[in-house]
Amino acid sequence: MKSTVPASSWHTISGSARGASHERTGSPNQDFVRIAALEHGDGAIIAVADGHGDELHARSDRGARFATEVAVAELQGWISAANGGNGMIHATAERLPEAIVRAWREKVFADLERDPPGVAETSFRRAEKADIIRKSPEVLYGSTLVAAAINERVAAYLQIGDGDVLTVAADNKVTRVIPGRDDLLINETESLCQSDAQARFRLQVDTIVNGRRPVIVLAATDGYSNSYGGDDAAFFKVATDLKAYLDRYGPQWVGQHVKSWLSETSQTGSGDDITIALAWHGSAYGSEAPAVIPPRWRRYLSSAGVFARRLLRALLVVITAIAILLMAGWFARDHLPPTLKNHAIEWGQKLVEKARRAFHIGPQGETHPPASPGTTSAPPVALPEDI
Amino acid sequence: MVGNSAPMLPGGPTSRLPMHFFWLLDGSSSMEGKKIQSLNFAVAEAIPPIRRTAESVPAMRLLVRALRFATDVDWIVREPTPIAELQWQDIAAGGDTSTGKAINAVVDELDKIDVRHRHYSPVIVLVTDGRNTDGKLYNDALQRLMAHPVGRKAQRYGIAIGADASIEELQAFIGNDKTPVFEARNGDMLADFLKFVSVSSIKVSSQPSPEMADAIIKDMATEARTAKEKSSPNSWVF
Amino acid sequence: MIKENSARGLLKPGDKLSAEFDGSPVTIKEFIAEGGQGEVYSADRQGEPVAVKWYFKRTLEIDPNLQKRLRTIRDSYLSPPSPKYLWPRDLVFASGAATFGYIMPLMEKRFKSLDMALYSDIPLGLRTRATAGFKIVDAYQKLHAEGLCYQDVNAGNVALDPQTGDVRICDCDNVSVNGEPGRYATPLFIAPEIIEGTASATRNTDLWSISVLLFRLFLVDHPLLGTRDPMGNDRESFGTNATFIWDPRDESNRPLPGEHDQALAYWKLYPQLLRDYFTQAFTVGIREPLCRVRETEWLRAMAQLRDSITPCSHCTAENFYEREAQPCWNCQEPAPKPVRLELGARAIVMAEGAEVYGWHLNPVNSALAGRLIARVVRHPAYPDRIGLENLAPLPWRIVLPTGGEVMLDPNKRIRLEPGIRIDFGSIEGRVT
Repeated sequence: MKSTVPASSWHTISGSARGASHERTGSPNQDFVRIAALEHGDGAIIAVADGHGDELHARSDRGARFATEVAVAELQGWISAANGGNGMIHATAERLPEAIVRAWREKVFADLERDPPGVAETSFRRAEKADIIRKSPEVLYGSTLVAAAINERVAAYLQIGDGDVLTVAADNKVTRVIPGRDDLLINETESLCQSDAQARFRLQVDTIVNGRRPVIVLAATDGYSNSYGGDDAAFFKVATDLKAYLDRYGPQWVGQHVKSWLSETSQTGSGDDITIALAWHGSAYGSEAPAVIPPRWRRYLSSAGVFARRLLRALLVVITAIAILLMAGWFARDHLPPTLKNHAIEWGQKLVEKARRAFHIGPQGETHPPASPGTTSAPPVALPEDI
Repeated sequence: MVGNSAPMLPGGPTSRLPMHFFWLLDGSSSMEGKKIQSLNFAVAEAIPPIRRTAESVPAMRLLVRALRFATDVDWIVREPTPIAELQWQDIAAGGDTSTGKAINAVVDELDKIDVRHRHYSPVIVLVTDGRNTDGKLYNDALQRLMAHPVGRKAQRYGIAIGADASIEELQAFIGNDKTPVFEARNGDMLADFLKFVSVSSIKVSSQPSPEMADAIIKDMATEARTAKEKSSPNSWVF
Repeated sequence: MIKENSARGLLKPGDKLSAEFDGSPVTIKEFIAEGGQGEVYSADRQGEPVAVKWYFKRTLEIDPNLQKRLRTIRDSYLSPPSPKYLWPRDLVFASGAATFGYIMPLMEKRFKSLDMALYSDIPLGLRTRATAGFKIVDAYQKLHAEGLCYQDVNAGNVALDPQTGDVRICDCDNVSVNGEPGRYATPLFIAPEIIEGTASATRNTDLWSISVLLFRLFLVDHPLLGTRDPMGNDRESFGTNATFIWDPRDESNRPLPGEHDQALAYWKLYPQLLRDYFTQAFTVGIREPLCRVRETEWLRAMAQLRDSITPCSHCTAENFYEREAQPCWNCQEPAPKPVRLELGARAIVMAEGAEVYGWHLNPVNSALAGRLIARVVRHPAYPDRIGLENLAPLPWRIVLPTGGEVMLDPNKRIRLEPGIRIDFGSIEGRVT
């Protein structure tokens, strides 16, 4: 059997946890996340959006969803066509904010038509707020957006409003690709619903030279960095720790733990919703998994193994029940009615005959060769360990 | 595969966003007697409600500093102290009114705040019963505060004790006409205002939008006005 | 202390005194009571009924600064820090007399001394105690806010109206600016550090005495007297080594059955917040004056107490509703979850007599804080129906569970049913 060295490719992971303070009030998670992998794992697109969640932005959960949808769609279009020289790549990237804002507004207005805002969403104690909504109903959908697209040649990162996008290089160096706005305070956020949203976008485009690409691109809503005192050094450690986990245990394992990590971080930290989307370039299995991909049949067996174990358990129960019955029958044989005994003996004989035929054991005990196994080609699916 | 114990949180232990709070308290000679005692009471009494408000904002870590200014500046609480650990030791009065030195001292502390970290807007509450005696030093200090990148974004409040305080001076310190000066004419008003201003400033800082922050400031302006109108001159002790 | 029915009298009805400030004549009417420092009489000042406190000679000998202090009080404060104080208005003298006195407002007959009220045959209701507790703490808070110190807080200086819980505080002649040396203190109420001799009367010793006062108001027995020293014969029982009778970490001084039955019976029925504050006051608060429970915290506990009173439908005993319905402490019958009005993070149990104040609606706006906004009343014809009466100057917009809206004008009532939403203007309340 041939074994292959695992190929590196882009993997994506996403996770979201409801903020501890929102859990208390019962309000819905206002964050949305969308990830997409390019063909053959050649690249990845990630997007997270944070709905503003206050009374003025009653539909920001929808706004966040639209934001991630249009971001992924536009970035997908851009990256698949991103060929040519640097100038060309930058020029096309610069059109992304406008395209995203336009597409977002289209979705918003379509939604407004399909489902006009109700009284509950447009009545406020303060008259100024009602005016704002009347003039610009898209404000109801206000949301931030942090998105990135990366492949072997180019990377684009864009952001409007709070949130963070970081990259980690193979040597563990963390870079904040879009510089933060230090002239804004906590409660001055920018949003897709603003009339000059396009101009407020921050964009960064990189071309990948000499294969020196980041191994991780991480997009997160601001609930994450706010849980680290707004301190870059502390927050960057999140990225390097995630890289360490990915290197050792692989994306599958990390994906299983993300939600509980985010939940714990929110509870002890910012109390806010936390959502991340992460793209990682590496092998599907971490270093603590076998370095060699096992041959196909072993993989089938391991996946079949779980099913088989369950079946085995069920069979064991049935067999034990039958055995008990038989034993009871044997001990009480003198008291059993004769017809029952005769039936039992008959069945027993029939069973033995059938077994002989099934195992190709002729009355003399010869065996016959088995037929060739089927050639099903189920894709390798590593099922979670059954604990 | 990894064992069953929960793996360490990536990033390690969390910490919340700091909010820096400063009380600048007038300890000049004119404050001697019941005024300084009133002020001591007002500060001590404000601490439990401030603490409860700060705890209701999950992301925030409220850090308090306080100074007394007379002829010189005395840091009563020099290190940024978490509100839960704050215990007020009474201050005494005696000396001039070097408000300018007080402002300079605060700006020196603001220099230490790392702007690269996200933070809540700091709050500076100035409580005084008279005009400053520093002259030019005061004007320079005020300019320095208004030009400072953190200082100019800080929430600034003024509480005047008694009839001799200068409302214009305090309004200039506040630096905008949306936020009112609170005029305390007796100890009850002083205690109320100190608590109200401190608690409201935390709420202002933690609002998700500038509009909601403005709404709270509007409420503060209403409160300052109605409290003054409601108090009868018979009860004016200061 | 105010003792009643003493036969002696330094002054006689008809005696004429004159007020110092404006010389106005004051005529004695009749003897009211005798205290440790002097006697109290009712009098008339130019048609206005007043009270006169007339000192014993020995009081002047112990306290030579008395006159000066009273003049300071008179001159610095045109009105008392709170209307609950029977504040000295002026000094009065009689020609040829060896002592002097002062005039103050006359206390209405409905007020009884707290000591009498606690030990009377008619037990004080819990709502009355909570109201009285609130008003007492509020009054001291206002006094301390003025930078003053009362010095001799004790159950003898406080009078309450058993019907309404309203209070009056007398003997205000010890009041001085915080930090000045103290003279007076009453056994059982003195702060441990004064007993040890390491401090004199301050705002913080007042806080100690207030906590003892409140403990006695709610549990009648003394917080430091238990099995170790039931009668309080040992000074140590009140000093810095004292032990709280309900100290969670030290059971050595628990209340003695037969002697301290009220402390035993009542402790568990009070809400956790109040018990926590008492515990703080009498564990950490014994040795650390700065860690004592502050007035703002007591007020919070008193308000919570009042807002959570739920009468038992079987025996009418007042229970407190915290997070879940407990069986009645008196008759053990299970109790259903009561109807409550939720205002933001707060909730008020809607029982007959419950009140909504301005500060419920807007905790920081002091202008409207004390104004009564609404009261829960019983339907005159249907006793099991309760309603909320609008006592505010403006109508409320009410949304019914069915979705319909009504406006409730002032002085009108609405029947309280779960699902109703009431817009008070600054906040919306939900009935649950």
